Amino acid sequence: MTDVAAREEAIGWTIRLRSAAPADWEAFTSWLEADPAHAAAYDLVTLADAEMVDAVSAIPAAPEPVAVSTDEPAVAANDNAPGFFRRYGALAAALLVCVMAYPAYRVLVPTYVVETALGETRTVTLDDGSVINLNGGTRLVLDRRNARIASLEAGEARFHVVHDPANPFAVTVGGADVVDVGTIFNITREGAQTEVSVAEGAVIFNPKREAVMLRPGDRLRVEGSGKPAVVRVDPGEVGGWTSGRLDYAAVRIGDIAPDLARALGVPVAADPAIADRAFTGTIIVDRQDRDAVGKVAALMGVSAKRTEQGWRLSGQ
Amino acid sequence: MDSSGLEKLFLEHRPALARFLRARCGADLDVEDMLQDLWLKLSDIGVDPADAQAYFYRMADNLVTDRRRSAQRRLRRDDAWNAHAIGPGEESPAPSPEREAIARSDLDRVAALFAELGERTTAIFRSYRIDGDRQDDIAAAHGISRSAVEKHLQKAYRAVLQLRDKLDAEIGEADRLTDEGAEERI
Repeated sequence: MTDVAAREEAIGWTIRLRSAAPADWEAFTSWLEADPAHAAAYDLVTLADAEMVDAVSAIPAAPEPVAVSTDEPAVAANDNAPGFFRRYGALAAALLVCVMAYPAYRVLVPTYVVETALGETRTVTLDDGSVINLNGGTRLVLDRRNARIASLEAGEARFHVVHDPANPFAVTVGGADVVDVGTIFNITREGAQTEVSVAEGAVIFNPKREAVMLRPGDRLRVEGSGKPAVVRVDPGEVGGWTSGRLDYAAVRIGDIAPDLARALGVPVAADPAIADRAFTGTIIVDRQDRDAVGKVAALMGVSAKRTEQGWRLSGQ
Repeated sequence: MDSSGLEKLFLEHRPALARFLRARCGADLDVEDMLQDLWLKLSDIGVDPADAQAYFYRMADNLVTDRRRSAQRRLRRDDAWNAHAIGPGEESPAPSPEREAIARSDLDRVAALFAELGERTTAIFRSYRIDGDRQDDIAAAHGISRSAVEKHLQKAYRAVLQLRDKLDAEIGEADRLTDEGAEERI
């Protein structure tokens, strides 16, 4: 067990570092280096901190997880919460950890996250029979109470949804909504850029704002809160990554690099000098091949170099 | 910010981050591997250059915590499985009921502890750690001083650490009982 003084200091750092400037982090590094007991104490506090965040997150507070405004804090609602509600929250918190062991209680925890590492793919079947394929490096939030909504926070997913006109399937991505009209479609979220492509059926992009109707072979791309643009692609290639195929028709190498990273499980960056070069062709992704990046680079007419961060595509 | 600008910044701060990670995790984690993982996570996110340096540290710190947490979970799961004698070819049994009860009650107890600490402490912790509000704003919202906010937070951490000590002691006790039970069956 670490000594009390180290723990007290570690608590102080844990609190202070929430809003720390770089100089604070440097001071913190020096503190850690001063005594191995410091790092051990800080580990203990951060693990406790993570548990506390889980526990408090599961206690119902304000209905919306928005930042508290200074005049009428959301915490006021919590002060009025009846005792049974708090106990219920504690129960929900406990179940959050045990969802695997107690599936019957899953319904108490409304949203859950499905995540994949780079190079890992996963398939999720929802209660309504809709199937979502997650490409590598993807984070998707689903709702246990409502199988017809999903939120793609990062990465790429192909949605094969069971169409129900009375209750359309809706995906939130980068602040926009994508609503199906009977469909197989693919969404990628890379940084602030969203791309929606339709293989079958149709989707409406952001029905409340731009309301762009996308048909098979349409690919919509939007950067941040900019204006969406639609280009034509081969509908057969949409979501081709699910079968290890990446098809491109005059696509920037800079835009292909993140696809490769997702598929191969290694970071791939494109040198700015060649990032704007266009590539047309089909890349078959073989994760088992150790030189996969090198071969793909050769196909695109560039060279691949191993860097500390992964791979870098550059000119010859 | 485009990724090449971010990369330049990251490379600039990489030595300091490596030093931080070495101090933070000692010898038991691969710092180079962590830095690579960090870069991977960063390149996926848009960062304001003005905040980038503090952000790198924050991400690095979170990364270590994530790894520690999953190691801890793995350890507890393995412990739970090892509590049963598994012969070769036998399927891994589910964790023992004692273990499950402990795991389930852990977060329950942390939540119960917050109920004990009071609504104000819980609300302050939530604002600071989950909503990401500034201490000054929280102080203003509650009509208390900034140092009072800090005291609420310290109180919560202290209480959970004490609970952790107690729970660890109980897990040790449960292991002892399980071992005795196994011996009796033999």
